[in-house]
Amino acid sequence: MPRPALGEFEQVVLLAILRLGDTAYAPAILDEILECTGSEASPGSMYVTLDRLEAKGLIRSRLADATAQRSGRARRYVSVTAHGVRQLRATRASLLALWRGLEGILEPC
Amino acid sequence: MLAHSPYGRAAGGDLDEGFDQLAATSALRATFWYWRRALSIAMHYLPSLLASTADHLVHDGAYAARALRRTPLFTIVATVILALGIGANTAVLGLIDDMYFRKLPVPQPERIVAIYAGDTRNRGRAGTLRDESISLHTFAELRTRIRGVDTLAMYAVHSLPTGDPLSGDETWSALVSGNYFHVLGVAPERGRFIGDDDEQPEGAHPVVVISDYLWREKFAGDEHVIGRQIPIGQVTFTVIGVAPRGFTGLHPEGRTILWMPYTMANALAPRGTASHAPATGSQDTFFGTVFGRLSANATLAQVQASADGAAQDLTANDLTANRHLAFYVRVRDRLTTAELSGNALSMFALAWIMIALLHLVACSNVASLMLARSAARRRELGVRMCLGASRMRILMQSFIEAWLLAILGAGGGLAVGLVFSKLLARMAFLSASNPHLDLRVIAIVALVVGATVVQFGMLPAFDASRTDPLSVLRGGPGRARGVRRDRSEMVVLGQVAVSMTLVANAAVFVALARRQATTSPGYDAAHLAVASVSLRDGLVSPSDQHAAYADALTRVAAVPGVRAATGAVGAPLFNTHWFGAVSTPTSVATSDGASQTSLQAVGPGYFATLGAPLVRGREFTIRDRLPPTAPRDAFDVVVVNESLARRLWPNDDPIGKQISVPGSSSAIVVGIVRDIHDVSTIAAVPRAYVPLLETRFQSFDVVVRTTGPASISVETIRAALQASGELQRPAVRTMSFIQAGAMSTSRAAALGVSICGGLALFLTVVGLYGIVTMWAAQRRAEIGIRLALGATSGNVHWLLLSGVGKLLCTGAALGLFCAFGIVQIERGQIGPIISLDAAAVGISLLVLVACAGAAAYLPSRRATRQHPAEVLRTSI
Repeated sequence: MPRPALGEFEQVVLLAILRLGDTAYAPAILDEILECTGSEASPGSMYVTLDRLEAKGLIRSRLADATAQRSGRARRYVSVTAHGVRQLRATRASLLALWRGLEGILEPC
Repeated sequence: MLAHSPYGRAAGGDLDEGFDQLAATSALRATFWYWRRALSIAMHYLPSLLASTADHLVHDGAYAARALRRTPLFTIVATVILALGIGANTAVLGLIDDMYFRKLPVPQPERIVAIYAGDTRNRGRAGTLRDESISLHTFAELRTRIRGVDTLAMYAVHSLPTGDPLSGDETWSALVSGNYFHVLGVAPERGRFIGDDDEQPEGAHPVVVISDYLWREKFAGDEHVIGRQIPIGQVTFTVIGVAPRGFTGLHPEGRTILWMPYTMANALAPRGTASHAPATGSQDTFFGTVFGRLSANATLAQVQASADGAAQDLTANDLTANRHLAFYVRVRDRLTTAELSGNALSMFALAWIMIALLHLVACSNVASLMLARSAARRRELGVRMCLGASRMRILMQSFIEAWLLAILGAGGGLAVGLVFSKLLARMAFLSASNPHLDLRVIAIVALVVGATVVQFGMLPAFDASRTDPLSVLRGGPGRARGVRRDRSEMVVLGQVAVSMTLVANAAVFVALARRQATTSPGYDAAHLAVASVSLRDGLVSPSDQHAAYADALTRVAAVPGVRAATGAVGAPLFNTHWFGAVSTPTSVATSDGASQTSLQAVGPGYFATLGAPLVRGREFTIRDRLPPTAPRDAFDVVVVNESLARRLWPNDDPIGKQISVPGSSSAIVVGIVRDIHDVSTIAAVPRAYVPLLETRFQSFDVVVRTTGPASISVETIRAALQASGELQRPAVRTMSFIQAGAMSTSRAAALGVSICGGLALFLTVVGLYGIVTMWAAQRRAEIGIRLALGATSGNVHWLLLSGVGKLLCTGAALGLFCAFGIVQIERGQIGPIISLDAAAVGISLLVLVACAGAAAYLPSRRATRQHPAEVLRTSI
């Protein structure tokens, strides 16, 4: 199992991408995060995080056709790579190991 | 801004999309949403943007360096052109900065104030501060009267006596009061400074302080310089100290300067202008500039008020001969000011404008070279843009190339600037241009380099950035739509205009130098020599002075080869005449300056010896002298020149008429002499000549007419005068030498502007040659087709040269307009002798058209000589 190397916001973005499937692109990811967590993510952080995740090989992107609505600029759809999924699994396992035994304290009564 | 990030690039589209969706419900909310998100994205990308920009700069710098290395000839030529331009600009700007803006290297320079004497009638008039120096006598009176200044000091700067080991173009002596260095607050680098004890008794302290530069240059930095003996004049001085580095006192005259107590003035007897005027007493033979340091809490206004009171006091108590004495107090925290140096600042500024214009032409040529390079690299630029390079990146890269070239040029420019500074200092006898390198100089260089990059780098950079990648891929010229066919035309037009300005200006100065050389001065300068002598100390009675004068003439007359000799206080081109009110009983002396007439004391036979013809009447004889008991300067006869005769008696014969001159209200005009022109200004001023033997004098000049060349007799005349015990330090020069000296400034100016004009013309010719060659290359196929269809070589010439004609006409018109403006400024500064007349315009136009025509004709002729079949085979 690879050592987890994901920051908290990176996990959030990767999970949102997985949830959105083929329709994941930046504005949709922001909406998904808002819907699931109830808090709005900073758009600037999100774009920079996407750049970083792609540089780490955790996501890949493809360009859709350009549309007039977007001043001729295409949407950039993203998907999580196999390496990204492995990283998420490793992170989840690490967190679960930390949670284990703390249910009495942390789970709501 | 986000171009370097794939997600950043997508962010623009995402924002547009979100904005459109929200705008359907609320435009305001959409706008707010858009800018909040845009700002958030921009803030997050800023660090990476900065990092990538720095990265790009390094890469582009390396790329530009490689590109420049690939074209070594271009790089060397451009660097040399830029180095010369940057160096020349830096030198002139540095000199202006040193003289007018840099503070004196003394503690609290802003508290140093100088007091100048002037005339109340001139108050507020330009040049007021150059009216008069202050006599020692007045200095002593001021010391007791001026309030608000700790103590007053005084100095006067003179050249060293001719023939002295230390004398030369650059060495000057400053005669100073004992407290001079104390008031300035500087400490000696070695030894000690002149103190109050060195002042008295008069002539008993032959001590000297030398400047650091003099110590290093003429004494080779000798560690044991203190105590060394230096012969100056006929006195041996002892070096007592070395001034700190960079300190040249308050005077811009020379960086190699030595200071000595003013009480050694008589021992040294430098020939200042004051010593030539009829003396009124020993206290009035030494003149200088008075300065002091403001007391704590004192203001300039308080000192001025105190000086005004002193002037009134001196006038009321008959302590000054000047009935209109005024004192002007000024802060003197720099070497000089525009107010003090008169038109020197304007002349420096004009010189700088000339050099800046020349630099502009040189930069234009570099810009042309870069434009040609960028045209040749159009395909490379197009491919790079197709591969994703943004226009900004291409623009930046071209700029970086320009900066690299400019930095190379700046390196050379600094070295050139130091050499130019030395030359300038030598030419202008100035201390200011001590070659040095400090933050101010670097700032000036940076300023010049910045301006240079803008001048030569901007146009090629924008041109390169507007490359059309699609056109390049299709094999086209690669110019974006809307870009003018040829920016080079604009560059060459500017060059033609600047060249015309400089060539016309050169024509003006060359014409002036020619006029000076060909104008008759009004006397026969050939076989004429002038010996300047001072009388021995203590020779104050008129009879003794006249006996010494007669002795000098007898000795000179006995020299073999001397045909005639006479005396005068001053000779033509000597600035030793004085001004006074001259009027007739019928005219009224006004105070507007019109009646302030030049006066000169001359001996018997002066005009005959000089070769200046008398129009009517007679000149002075040995009988024109007053008895020993008569009051000083009581002239009974006067000779006037034609200009004064015309002014005072426009319709009458002046001979026998009564005239009022200073010292005598009833002198009789006995002769009229032709005007004697000053060869430097080509002007004659109204002048009255008074008999030398009716004045007292401490020094005089012997005008000698020789039978052979005057230069042969110079040494024997000097030896004859030296043999007299009554005379001191005779200096003998030929009149041709004196005339050459008087014309040297305008000759140097003519040479300077001619070099500027010639260089500008050469660069323009190169530019024109280049542009016509380029036009011919661009239209090669068209020319081939035209020739194949039967066009004559004349048609082809017309095709190419009509464009040159337009450029020349427009450029020449613009240039003439600028030249007219510059000449007007010069005319205001130098005088009406400067004028842009039809001859100057015609000659400069002819020179420009001939040179430009030849430059354009050669490539045009080459185009007509190509074979149509060959052209069609290779071009289409």
